[in-house]
Amino acid sequence: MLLGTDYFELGLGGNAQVGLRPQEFLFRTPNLHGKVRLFARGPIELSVHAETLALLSGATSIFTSSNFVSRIDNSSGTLWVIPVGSTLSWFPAEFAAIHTTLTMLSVGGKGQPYYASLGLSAVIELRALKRNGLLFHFTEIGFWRQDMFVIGASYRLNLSWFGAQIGYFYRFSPDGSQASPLLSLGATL
Amino acid sequence: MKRAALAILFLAACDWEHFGLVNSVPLPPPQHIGQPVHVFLGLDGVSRAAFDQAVSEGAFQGFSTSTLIPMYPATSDASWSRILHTRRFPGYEYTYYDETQDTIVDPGLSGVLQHIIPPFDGTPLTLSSSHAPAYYQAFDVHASDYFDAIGSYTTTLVSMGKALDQIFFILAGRLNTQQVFFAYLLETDVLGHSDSITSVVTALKTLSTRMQEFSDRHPEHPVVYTLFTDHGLDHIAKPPGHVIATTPEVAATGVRTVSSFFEGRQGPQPWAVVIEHTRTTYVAVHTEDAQADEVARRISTNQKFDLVVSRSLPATNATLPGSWPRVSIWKDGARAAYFAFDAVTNTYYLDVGLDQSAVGVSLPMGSGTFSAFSDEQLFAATAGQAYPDLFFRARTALDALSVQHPAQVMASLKTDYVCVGYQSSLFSASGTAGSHGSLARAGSEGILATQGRTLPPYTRSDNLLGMFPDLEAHVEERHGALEPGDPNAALAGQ
Repeated sequence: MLLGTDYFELGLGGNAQVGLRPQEFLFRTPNLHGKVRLFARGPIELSVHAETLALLSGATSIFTSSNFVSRIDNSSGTLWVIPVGSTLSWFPAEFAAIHTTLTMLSVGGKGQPYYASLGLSAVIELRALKRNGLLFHFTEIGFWRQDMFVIGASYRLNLSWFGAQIGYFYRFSPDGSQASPLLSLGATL
Repeated sequence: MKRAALAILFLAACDWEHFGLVNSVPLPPPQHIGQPVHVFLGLDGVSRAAFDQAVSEGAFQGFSTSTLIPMYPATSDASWSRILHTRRFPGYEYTYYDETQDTIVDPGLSGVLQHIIPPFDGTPLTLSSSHAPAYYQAFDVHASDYFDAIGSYTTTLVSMGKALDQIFFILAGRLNTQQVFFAYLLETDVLGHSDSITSVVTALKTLSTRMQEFSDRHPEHPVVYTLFTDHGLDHIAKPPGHVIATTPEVAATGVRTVSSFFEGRQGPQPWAVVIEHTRTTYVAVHTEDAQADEVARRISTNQKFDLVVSRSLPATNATLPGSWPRVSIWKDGARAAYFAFDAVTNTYYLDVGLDQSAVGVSLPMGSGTFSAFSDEQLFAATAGQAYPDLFFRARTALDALSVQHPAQVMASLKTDYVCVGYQSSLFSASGTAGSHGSLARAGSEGILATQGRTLPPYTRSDNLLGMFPDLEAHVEERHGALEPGDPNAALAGQ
C-alpha cells in the first residue's frame, strides 16, 4: 500500500491496483482510479487504467488562495471527468524508462455538454544510484481540436519506504501558458 | 510558528495539485456561438499620457476613450475599492492609523510585506494579511501563482508576460460560460514607478496585440473590451534628494509628530500622526478635528508640499448651516480655498477668499461671502486643469467612502517629490521614476477606454461602475452587496 500527499494506492494480487487522490477530496473532488497490468515481457509492460473524478459543484473555484483560479467553471453542477487509457512502458536499460500513455478523457455533467478529448503523453525517466530519478514529461491534449501541450520536469526520490517527487510543469495553450509546481510525498506501508 | 509554516506549505501544495488538475481538463467545443463577451481589464496605474502615446503608435484602435479622474488620494487599494464599490479598505494603504485602537497598524516592513504575501482566503487563518482585499473578489483573475507579486516588483516584464498568459488562458475557458469577464493587471503600475513612460507604452502595445490576437482566435464569441485604471502616474523622475521621509518634513513645520493620539494629548498642540507607507505623492495625516486646519496650514508652509486639504469646523459665527461639511485647501501657508457643501442640493459654497490661481481654476465668483456652484459646474471647471475635480476629490478624501479610517488632513507633495516610505537597502533606488497620489493632474489622470459605448471626455471614477451595468452586476455577483459610494457623485451622462 502506498500512502502519499496526493495519492493512495492499494495493490491487488500483483498486477492490479486501485487508488485515489486524497487531497482532491478537500477540494470537493472525490475520485477513484484503477490500473491493471496486462502483460510484462522483457523490457515491455502494457497496462490499462481508468479514473473517475466528480468535480462537485464549485470544485473549480475552491482554492486555498484566490491567487489561483480555474479556466472552467462548474458552479452550475457536478462535472464528471473520466479518463481511460493505456500505458506502454519500455525499459531499454537499467537507468532508463519510457512510458507512453494514450488517454481518452470524457467530460460531462449538469449544464455541460458531453465531450471527449484525446491525449498522448510520454515520460522519459532517467535513473541514477538506484533511488533517484529524473523525469521529463511531454503531453499533447486535443490533437485536431488542440487544447494544450504540457511539458515538465521532475525529480523523484524512491527509498524503500519513502518517496518524494518535486517538479515544475508548463501548460501551453494557443491563448497563453500557465505554470504550476509539483510536490508529492509518500510512504509504502 | 513552525507548525503554521508547515500547514501553509501543505495547503500550498494542495492548491498546486488542484490548480494543475482543473486547468488540465480539456475545454468543451465552443458553445453559445455568436454571444458577445464583455472583457473588462483593470490596469493598475496607467496614465492618460501613456495610453495616448500607445494609441498614437497604433494600439487600441477604435476604442472610445475618456480621462478617468480617480479619488484623492489617487492610490490603488482605496481607489479600486471606491471604483468597484467593494467593502471598504481599512486605510488608504496597508499601513494606516486606526482611531478605534489609537495605533498605527502594520507600520514599516509589516505593511510593505502585505503587498507580496499571498492571500489564503480559503483557510481558517485569521491574520489580516491572510485575506485578500475585498476588491480582489471583483476580479475573475488577479494573480497567476502564490508569489507572483514578488516577480511583479523584481522581474516586472517577465511577470507581465506571465500575467497576460494567465488572463487569456483563463478567459479562453470562460468564453463559454460567462458573458462578463474581469481581470486585473498590476505590472503597468510597477513599470510606471520604476521605469520610463516608454516601458509602459510598450507594455500597453503588447497588451493591445494580445487582445487583438485573442479576438482573432475566437471568432465564435465577439469580444468587447473595456480598460480602466485606478489612478494616473506622473512619469516625473524624482531626484535622489526629493525622495523624502515625510514625518520629519511635517515636524519641520512645527507640527509635533506622534504615533498615537494618546501621545499627542500628552504634549502641546498641534500634533499629528503621519502615515508613511510606500512611494506615493501624498501623505495622510491624522489629528483631532479642532487641530486639522492648523496642522494643514503649517504643513503647507513646507515648500516640498503642494495643496493640503483639511476638514474644517464651522466658524462660531457661521452663516451657513453648521451641519454642512467644511473643507479647506491650503497652499504656501495660506487658505487657498474654503467651502461648505450642501448635500441636499449638491451645491458647493465657495468662500470669497478663493485663490483661483493657487488652485488652478477660473470661476465667476459673486460679491457675497460665499458663491454657490453646482457639482457639475465645478467638475467642468477643473477637468483638464491643474487639479482635476478638485472640490469633489478634496471633500470625499476625508470621508469613509472606500476606507474605514479616513484622515483629517491630506497633503499632496509637489510632483517632483515622493515619499520614501518604508526604507530598506532592498528598495533604495526603486520606484522613483514616477508616482501618483497627489491632487495634481500629472499623477491623477488615468484612462477609461472601451469598445462598448461612447464616453464623455472626462469621467469621475466613482461613476464608472454605473456606466457599465454588466460589470456592476458581475462585481456584485462575485463580491456581494456593493457599497453605495458618495450619494452626490453622479454627473450628467455618467
